[in-house]
Amino acid sequence: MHIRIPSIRSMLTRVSTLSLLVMGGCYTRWDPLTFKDDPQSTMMPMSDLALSTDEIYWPVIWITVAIFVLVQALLTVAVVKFREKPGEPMPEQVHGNINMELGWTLLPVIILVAISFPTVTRIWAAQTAPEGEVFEIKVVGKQWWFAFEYPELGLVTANEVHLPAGRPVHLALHSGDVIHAFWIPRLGGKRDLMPGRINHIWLTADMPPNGQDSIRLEGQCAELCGDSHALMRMEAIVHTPESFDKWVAAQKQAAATPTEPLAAKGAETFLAAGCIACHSTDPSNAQAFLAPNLSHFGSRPRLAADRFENNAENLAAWLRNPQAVKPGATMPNLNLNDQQVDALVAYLSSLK
Amino acid sequence: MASPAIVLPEHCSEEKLSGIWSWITTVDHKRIGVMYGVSALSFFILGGVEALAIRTQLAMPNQSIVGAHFYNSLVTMHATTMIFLMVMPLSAAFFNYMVPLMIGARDVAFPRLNAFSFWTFLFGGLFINSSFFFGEAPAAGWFGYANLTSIQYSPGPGVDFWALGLQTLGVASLAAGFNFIATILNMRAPGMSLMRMPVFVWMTLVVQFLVILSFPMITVALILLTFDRMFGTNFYVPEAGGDPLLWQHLFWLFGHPEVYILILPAMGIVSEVLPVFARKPLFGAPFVIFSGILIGFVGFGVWSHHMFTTGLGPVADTAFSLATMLIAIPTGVKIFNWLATIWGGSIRFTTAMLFALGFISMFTIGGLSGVMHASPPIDLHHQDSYFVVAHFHYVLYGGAILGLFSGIYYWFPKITGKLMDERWGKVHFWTSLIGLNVTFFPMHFLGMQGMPRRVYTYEGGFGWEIWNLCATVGAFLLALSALIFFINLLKSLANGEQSGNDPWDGATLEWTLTSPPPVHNFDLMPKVTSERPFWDQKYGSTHGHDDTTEVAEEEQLPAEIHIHMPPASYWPMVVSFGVITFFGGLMIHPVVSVIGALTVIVGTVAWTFEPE
Amino acid sequence: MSSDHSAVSVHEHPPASFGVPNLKLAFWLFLASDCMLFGSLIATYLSYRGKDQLFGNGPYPLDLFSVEVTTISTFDLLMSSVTMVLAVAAIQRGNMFQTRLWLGLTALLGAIFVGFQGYEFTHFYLEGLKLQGNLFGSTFYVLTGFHGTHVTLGVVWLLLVLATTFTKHKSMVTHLNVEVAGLYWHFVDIVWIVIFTLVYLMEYTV
Repeated sequence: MHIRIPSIRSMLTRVSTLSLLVMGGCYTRWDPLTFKDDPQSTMMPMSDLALSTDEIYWPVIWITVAIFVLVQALLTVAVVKFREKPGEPMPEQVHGNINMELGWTLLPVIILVAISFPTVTRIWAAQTAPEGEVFEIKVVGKQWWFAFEYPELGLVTANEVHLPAGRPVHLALHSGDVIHAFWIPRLGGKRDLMPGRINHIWLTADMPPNGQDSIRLEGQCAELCGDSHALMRMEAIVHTPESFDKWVAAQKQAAATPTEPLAAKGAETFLAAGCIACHSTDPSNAQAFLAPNLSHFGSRPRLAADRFENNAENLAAWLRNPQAVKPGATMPNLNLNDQQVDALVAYLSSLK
Repeated sequence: MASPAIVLPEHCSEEKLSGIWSWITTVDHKRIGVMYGVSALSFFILGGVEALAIRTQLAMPNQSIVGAHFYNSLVTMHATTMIFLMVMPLSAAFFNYMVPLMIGARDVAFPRLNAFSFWTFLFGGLFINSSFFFGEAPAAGWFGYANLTSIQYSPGPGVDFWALGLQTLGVASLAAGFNFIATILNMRAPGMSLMRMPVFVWMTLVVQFLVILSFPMITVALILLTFDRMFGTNFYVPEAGGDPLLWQHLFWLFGHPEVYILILPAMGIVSEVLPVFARKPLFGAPFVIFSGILIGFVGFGVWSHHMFTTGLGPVADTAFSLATMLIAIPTGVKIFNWLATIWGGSIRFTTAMLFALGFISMFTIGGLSGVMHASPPIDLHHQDSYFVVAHFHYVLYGGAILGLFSGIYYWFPKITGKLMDERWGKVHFWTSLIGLNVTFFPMHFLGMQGMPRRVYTYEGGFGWEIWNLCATVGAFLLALSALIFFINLLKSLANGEQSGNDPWDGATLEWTLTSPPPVHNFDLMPKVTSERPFWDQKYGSTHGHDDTTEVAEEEQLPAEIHIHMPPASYWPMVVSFGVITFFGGLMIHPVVSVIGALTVIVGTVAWTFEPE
Repeated sequence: MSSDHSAVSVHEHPPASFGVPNLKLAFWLFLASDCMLFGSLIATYLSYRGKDQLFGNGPYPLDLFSVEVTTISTFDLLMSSVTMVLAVAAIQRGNMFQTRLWLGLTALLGAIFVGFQGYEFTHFYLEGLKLQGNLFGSTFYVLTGFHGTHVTLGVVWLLLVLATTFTKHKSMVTHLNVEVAGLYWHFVDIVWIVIFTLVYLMEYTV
């Protein structure tokens, strides 16, 4: 995997590589703790950014484990060996030893210097824009959902971010209200979405494994942002180039016109009940940061900021009383009757 | 030579020192210390109940035992309570009771200011917690990040209770800070040079410097927040150009030193307990002391490591990362010196010693995960995940609280004249140790599995179920250990074994006194010739040179000694009441605040003209 | 306190193992702490300085400042530090008349400064600078307002000391007490010099 490192810091990089080599044997993963099958694991890198973190994560873990074992071993030996024995004379009254002090001051210094080189190179690498063309994505966090805009494609999505594998991507992070944090652990560490500021993540996602077309990666907001912070989830879908093109083509299609009568009635309700005031069904509506864009809602497997399975039952519950599903949700309770709910469910599910 | 008779003023008579009024008006550092301790342990129960509610909610996926908003209140209040109302005041209990005894002083420099600190702390703590009964407890997290705390996103009164309550607690801490630095610098017994001070007193000194230099910054942060919420200013309102990041800078400029305010007292206690029960002097005492000073000093330069995710840029990230790594060095030096202290000793496994040894072991875990966060690439994963929850609970429970428990078992006989039950003490220790590892160790795994902190619920299927359940079981084990502790405390208080004056064969001045110590502490001002004055008195000096000559000359003592004691006063409490009325009034009506301010002024003037 | 017995020497503390009386030491510590308070407020002001221009959200400092008026009030406050020094010197000589005179004059100069600030606040407010309006308004009023509150409390303090010299508690007005009040007064004065430089004068530099 290629890691971008600015050339002016090449010397630093060399020392960094050396440090990593010194830590050499440490860079092995202990299988039981890689949390391999866990969808939100921080230990299963799927991008260059995540991998560069992973490369320093494991050596540092092993170093800390080694120091921990050393301290516990000394403690255990001391506790066992120097327990009070009856009739024992007064122990020798030692006040200190300058050489030992120097020793245990220098030991951590050496270890920290070793950690600091790969740390510093990674700090710079992660915050430097790669040369050449990058795929732009604008991320906006709102209470409590994520909007994604793809300016080059003229598309917007909600709570699902689609990435082309193998292409450098720039995520421009914005907030529409309070501080949120963008965190899809398998793609890398988190960054805050700060109101009034723009933060950046640059990464190149790996190809989906095992010849798959695409892979879904889980993530969620990581900064306390109000009542439903726990429900503010998202998914990244990493596509192969072909799969990505296919997705773009499908996404550019206008929202499907309902054919089935119930769904058609739902389309009317969508206008009449006022859903349209906030939710757009135009996939290119770039101003759709008010509420999730619903043009291809039916194709999303998850509902309400990636928190519930997108099925008729959950959708109906959501439409009846959004606050009961997601405390504090800004979507108002429109007091829809059963017929309206059924029609809306049919309509929204038809928007593939 | 016959000891001189001690004559105390009339207001120190037996009947004048009993009854509730004598506690309310007391200016005796020992009684104030006890009141700090009792309040802190009460708040410990409250914070513990909040923790249990949190763990119950998270025991299994998709539970809704408490609602989202109330859960956020629980999280906020658990942290606020444990930090400001439990660990800080319990440390203050030891500062109050022990520092004057350990430096050979009659009291602190300003006894009435000391009473004022206590009452202000108590009123502030009750004020924050009263929010549960007035509509809404604060729910924006203990570090109350702007702009979630703005009136727009937190319209309820919770954030006001929090901001004004913390402001009150800040006043209490600052007053105590000035008082204790003056006490430690100025009221040491003759011969007690700075380097002969017990390490606990040293750590107290460092902590108080951290308090007086760091609290003003949160004071300003809270003033700006209060102005935003009450008077419509725009300090943290991004729409008007304000910057929520300003809050984070001001908050962590305070918040990081605060971390050391929480841990250094426990380090001081451990540095007292280990030598006594290993029957050796503290290894490399000057290094332990200077490490503490260095930690305090560098602690002011690392605040932005709490903000690696906010996008400060690579220059700031690099600087703060390296500064943070620097702190690991003095911390490591301390740990190795403690190990060297017990090495070659003759270790007695009392409960106090077990807790001190447990401290070394557990604090090391928290310290090492801290080193991991110092590296921003790693921190970007750990920040706001359960890994960081595991980290600071190892530092605060495994560190601060185990250390403070060690202090309780160590000094309880001095304070009460009775021993705590050692058998129950050991049960308490082992349930604590197992409980805290069962609770907090799995949280490392949760963090690695990508579970963010402060989520009131989570779905199944992320591999989080087992570790959450494990943590919940551990939390109840910890609750059991606390229950055992409280039963032991009450039982020992009622009918504990008589301890005598020096049950542990101590080395420092407090053990020369009766247990409990007399109201005036020392009959004669002690003369100090080494950092272990009482030990030297019992076993002879262990330093190569012997400087006993400087006190060799016999002093002519009079037949009786009249000791000046400050009279009791209710004005400190009145002024404290004025402070809380002023701050609370901001939420009710300006007139109430004006009454509060006038109470402060009148109380202060009356206080000034009281005889000392 | 040391009048009661010869045995005092064996029990009472040495006046100070640090060489500074408790009260004075505690006050120095308070001032160190207050430095951090003003440091944070000034840092807040500076970090928002000029930001309103980006938002086109006036009025701006140069629309309002009158450096002549503020220079006069600054001079007034500086003079009060001189009279404060004279008050401390007078109490040290035990000259109660001069102590009263200089204390009173210091309080008067302090009150004049507060008056200037009141005038300035009113004037700025009428010119459209609101606490709630823009960042300059918020930061300016809060920073200078906190300083003004410090001066006001100082004036009250000095007047209380002055009043005490006319009561039976006269003996409480000692050199130490007046000196401590003086420390506070000089501190507030120095803080103003910093504010005057950073808030006012800096606007006139290119």
